[in-house]
Amino acid sequence: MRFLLRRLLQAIPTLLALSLVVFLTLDLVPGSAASAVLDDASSDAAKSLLCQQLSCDQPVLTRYVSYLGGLLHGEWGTSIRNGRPVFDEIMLRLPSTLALTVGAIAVAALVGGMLGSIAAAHQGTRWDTAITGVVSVAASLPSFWVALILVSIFALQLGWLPVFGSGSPRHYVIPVLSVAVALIPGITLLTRSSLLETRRQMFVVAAHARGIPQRAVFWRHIEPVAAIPIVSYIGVQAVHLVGSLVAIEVIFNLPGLGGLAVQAALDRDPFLLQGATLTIAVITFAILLVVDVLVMILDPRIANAPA
Amino acid sequence: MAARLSIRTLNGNLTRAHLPDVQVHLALPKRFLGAAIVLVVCLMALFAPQIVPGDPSQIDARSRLQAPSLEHPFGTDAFGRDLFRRVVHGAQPSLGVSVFAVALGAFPGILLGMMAGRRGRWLDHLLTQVMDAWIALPGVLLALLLAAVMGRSLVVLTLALGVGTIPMFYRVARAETLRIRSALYVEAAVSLGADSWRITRAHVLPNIASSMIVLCTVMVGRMLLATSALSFIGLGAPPPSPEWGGLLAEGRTHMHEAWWLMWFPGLIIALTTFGFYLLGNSVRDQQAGE
Repeated sequence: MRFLLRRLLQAIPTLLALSLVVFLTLDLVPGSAASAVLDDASSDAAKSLLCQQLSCDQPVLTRYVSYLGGLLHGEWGTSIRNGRPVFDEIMLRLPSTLALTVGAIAVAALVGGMLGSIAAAHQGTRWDTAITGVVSVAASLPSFWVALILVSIFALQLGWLPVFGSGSPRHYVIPVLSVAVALIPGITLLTRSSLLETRRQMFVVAAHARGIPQRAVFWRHIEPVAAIPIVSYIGVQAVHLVGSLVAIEVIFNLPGLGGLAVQAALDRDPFLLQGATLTIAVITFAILLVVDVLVMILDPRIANAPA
Repeated sequence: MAARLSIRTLNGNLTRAHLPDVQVHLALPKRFLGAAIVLVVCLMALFAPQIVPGDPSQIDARSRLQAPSLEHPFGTDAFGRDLFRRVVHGAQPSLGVSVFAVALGAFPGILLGMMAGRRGRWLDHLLTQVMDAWIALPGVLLALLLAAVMGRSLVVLTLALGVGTIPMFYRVARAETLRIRSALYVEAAVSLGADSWRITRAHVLPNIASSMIVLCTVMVGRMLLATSALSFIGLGAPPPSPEWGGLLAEGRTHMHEAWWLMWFPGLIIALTTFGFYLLGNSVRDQQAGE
């Protein structure tokens, strides 16, 4: 419990720093938000009106503090492009991104864990060579390209799945698979090496010696210990996951945060971009936190460790 | 004591997981193959105009969307441009961004990592906290922010990706420095009264250099994937540029009728990344052997 609390408290200054960086990046640059939206042809009156709405006559820090206050109240500013509240816009798109993220991690953990276990169980055989060889090559495939290939095969040629867009779970099959492909190689190889390493430990030998059945030794003794580095690996990869996530959402026209952030960046829509970026960062943190808790459950020694 | 130890091992695992450690398990002459791929792509980046003369953006309305043939080995795109020429000319922007991004991240990252590892105490604490926060802002988001502020260009892309990799280099350089901190030759240098800068330059740097080179090589591959993904979604160079991610974005609009526009740029990205992974891996294998 204390461990969990400490991790939560650690996240606060990080998120604050992050929000400050995001705010300043979009603020301190030459050309205010007003001039980014309105081109040179617009009248000065229009500019100063917009400027007043954005209260850009006040010092940066004042605006940052009031922005921060707004964040806590769910007032995240309004989109300059379409005038809708940023908060609503983000909540509208959160489910899609969460579904994609959680789905991809789940699929990758399942497939990668299975492939890695098979390779470890048959170490040195053809199975092992085939699995490790294939995932080694798969590690260098760009996930958005994998997405395009999958679409051209399963959607265009065979017609099994819808092409682009959203609406039904079937629309998420190819996106989830493409994001998962980026994660599977690392998980497979780590599972394999972790299992091989754990299998040699003395407590496993002892379990075998006590006559515990193979299956029970594997699930009760080997698996939880071998899973620890894999779970931490998934957490760390969550940060890199964002990259493939954004591209995939754009390709498939999914109503997610990545696509929203890209659109906001190309439109130079500051509040929308701030909101989307921070939400993605919070999701990343949440994944890291869940991973920490899982690791703690798997390895009770950590929770009781001194700071 | 036991608890301490477990935290250590956990951190060890985390550091390992943080490494962009792409293990390549293949019964191939890794070093030869990796070096060959990297060499060919580098030659393409440096001497594209000599290899395939002509302007990569030259439009030829008569030869629109032609399938691969002897005349056009990779086919032509919707504007009749030769895809093979565009792919070869695209090596320069694609590889350029990746290499410069790695250089941009490696220099400050390794320097700070060595400082933190050498000094320890509050400097180490502070830097590690900052870097942990930094790593939560992925390069992609940074690229989005910078693109909104400075417009879309390859320079902005390089900057964003480079700044985003600093924590990665920091972590590994710090861990490596800590590993050799208590080595006898470092202690000997300290007892001889060498100053901190001299120890870092003459003892730490040469001893972590090889693993840093491996890291850089693998990171170039990783940056190539990131560069092409970001170019693909429109954050790289504007259209006429033959950057590989951009080529794929163009190919996507014609994926119904022209498979070659999608396959060849994608294959070259994958092959180049694979080449860098292989090369980095073969060097690491050799180090482990020693």
